[in-house]
Amino acid sequence: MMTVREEEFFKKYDAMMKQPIMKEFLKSGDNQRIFNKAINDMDKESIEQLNASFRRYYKNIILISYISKTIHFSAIEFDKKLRNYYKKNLPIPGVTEKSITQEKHLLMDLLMSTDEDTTFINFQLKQKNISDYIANAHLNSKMKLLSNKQLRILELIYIHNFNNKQIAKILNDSEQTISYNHQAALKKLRNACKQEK
Amino acid sequence: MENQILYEVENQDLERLLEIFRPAIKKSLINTRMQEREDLEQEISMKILEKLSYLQEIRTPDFFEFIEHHVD
Repeated sequence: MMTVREEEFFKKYDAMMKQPIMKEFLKSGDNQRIFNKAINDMDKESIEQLNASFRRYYKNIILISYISKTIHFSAIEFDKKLRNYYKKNLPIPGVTEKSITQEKHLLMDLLMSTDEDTTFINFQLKQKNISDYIANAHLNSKMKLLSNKQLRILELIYIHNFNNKQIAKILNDSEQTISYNHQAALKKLRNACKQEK
Repeated sequence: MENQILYEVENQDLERLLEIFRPAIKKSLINTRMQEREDLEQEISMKILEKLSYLQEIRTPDFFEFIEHHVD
């Protein structure tokens, strides 16, 4: 039941009271009580109390929105900066772009090679397993669900930054298979994590 | 807890703030390559830290200011 004063108030400020922020504010039982008391009594103390709780409520919302935006835009800004940096600074003086691609080819050749020379074995020993990169223990325990091939593909994509075409060459497989296995691996992990929940 | 973000900002508790916003931060990391994500996470934490005192100073309208200001 609304009192006469409350009705008057709602009539006068109809548009304002329909604003989402007002509705949300009054959803809390405490705020509703403070609001009713202030409208009905109109004494200084309860009005001050209403003002103060609304101010805090509003500020909280502004802060959430501000921090979320900060996170969102600094992520975008960071990536932009990084791209620019790579564009400007590579090739580094003295190193031509050609030699960088050559270097990448060398690594590719090494990964493709079937010869068992000692450098390659050492190189392989130094290679870290993809599980070493996953900090989330929960996800890490799910990695054993994947086949060796899938693990290898994830490793080449996420650690070495190769694209599908290059990985197809390394693993001597078709691009489609690589892409399929990549997606299948991610799907498997996703489902395994969902099920646990 | 009511108005938790405000509470943490007033206390300048960066750790707790980051903890609350952790999911949002993690989500924003997909903007960048795997190798740079840790750096980005640091960068975001820095940005929030830099803004903390500004956030504290933000002044919001009280109930009657809000309601009168928007009535025409």
